[in-house]
Amino acid sequence: MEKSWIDLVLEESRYVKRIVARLDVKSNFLIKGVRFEGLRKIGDPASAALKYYEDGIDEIFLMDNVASLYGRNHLGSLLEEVARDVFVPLTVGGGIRNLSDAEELFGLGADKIAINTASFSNPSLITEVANKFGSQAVVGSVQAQRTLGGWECLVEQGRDRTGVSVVERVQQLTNLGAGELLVTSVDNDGVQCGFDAELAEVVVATSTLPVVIGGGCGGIDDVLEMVKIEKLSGLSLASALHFDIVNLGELKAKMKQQHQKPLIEGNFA
Amino acid sequence: MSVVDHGIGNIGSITNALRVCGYDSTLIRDPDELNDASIVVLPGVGNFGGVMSAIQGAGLHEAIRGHVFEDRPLLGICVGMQVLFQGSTESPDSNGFGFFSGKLNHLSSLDSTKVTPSVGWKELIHVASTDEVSLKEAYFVHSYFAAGIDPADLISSYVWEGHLVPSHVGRGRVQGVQFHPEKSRLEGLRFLHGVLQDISK
Repeated sequence: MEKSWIDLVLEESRYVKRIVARLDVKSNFLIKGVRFEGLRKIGDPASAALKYYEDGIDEIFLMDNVASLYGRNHLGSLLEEVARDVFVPLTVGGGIRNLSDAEELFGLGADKIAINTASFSNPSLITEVANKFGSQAVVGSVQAQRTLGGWECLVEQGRDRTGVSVVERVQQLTNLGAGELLVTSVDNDGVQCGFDAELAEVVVATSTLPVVIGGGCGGIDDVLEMVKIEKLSGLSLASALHFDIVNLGELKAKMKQQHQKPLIEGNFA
Repeated sequence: MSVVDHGIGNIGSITNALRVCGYDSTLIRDPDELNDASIVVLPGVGNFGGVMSAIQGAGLHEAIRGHVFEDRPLLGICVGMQVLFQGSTESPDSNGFGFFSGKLNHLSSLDSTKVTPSVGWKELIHVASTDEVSLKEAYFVHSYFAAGIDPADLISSYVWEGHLVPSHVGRGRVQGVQFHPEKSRLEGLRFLHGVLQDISK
């Protein structure tokens, strides 16, 4: 049966995932570690955000890497600077403890805030922010570490365990009113060994929310491998962008080709 | 350029975008400030009822109606577009402005097995030609869509899970977009500039 143009648009959109640049920041430096450890200073976060924007990034995620430890987010002035020049959605995370922390960041230019650590001690925080600013403004952030039977959630940037499984956590975050999930594989973070596809499959099967998976991108092929997961909404890249391993223009073109490939093969079958 | 500041959402994104478009924005928190407003931008995120009651709480409801009935230009963005319709199943007790006929329904009423909210970059399908620069793709994040609208009001749609969903509506000097032009790169800002020029002619 011939496909309608609506089906064709739909098919293409399924193969084109959102690409999110994740910028971890510590004392005004862009930093990156391996498995959330051994953090190295690698540049200026504002210039990196502007460069990724000009190269065609879909969204930018600014993460205050030490905020949670000191109990507050320090990204206000960086956020203000980035928001003046960068016109794609900006998410800010790290050290958001209460509604007024969130309000301050929204006022400075954040479109969404990401919450992990604080929501373990104060689960209603996500609901409060969602009630005021809408679910779409709250990203439930999960740091997932592999265990024998699955994945466990970590907090404080991978410093502390919680004993809570990722599946259980994803259900909680969905019920609390988060509008999106960002799940980072701690094991694959900074290792450039490919994304944890199994983790992605489990999370998208557990929640009806849009899911972004991060940790492990080592090249364009790693992204193309993940676009096959139909319900996955996006992929988060850090090292792969900071160290120029992935060119965004090339990645976008390849995602679209990936969509056309099965159709062409089909014609010869 | 007057931007309605009802306290819900990232007004800074809009004013930053308008600055690049060459407009200085005045934030409107009081009905009197709307009296001699030229163009009004009505932003909004979150919940239909929340945005409507914030508008009413600030006493801006009548002033916005007056602005539109005097045939002065207005652009609603995201939930700011949604409230231009008659109502929403999200907040059954809140009435919208009713400038456009139709009501908002949840996307899951089209297909309950799919992921919501609809988030990301979508290709726009233009059904009506306007003078403004037409935009190829835009950033969306929403769970409710305008249903039962007057086809004459439709300017563009996009495909959500195989269903056509309105993305841009307009009648005279009142227009609304479900997507976020202020978050849709330089092309989004060009579109914003074009629409504002168009509705103020």
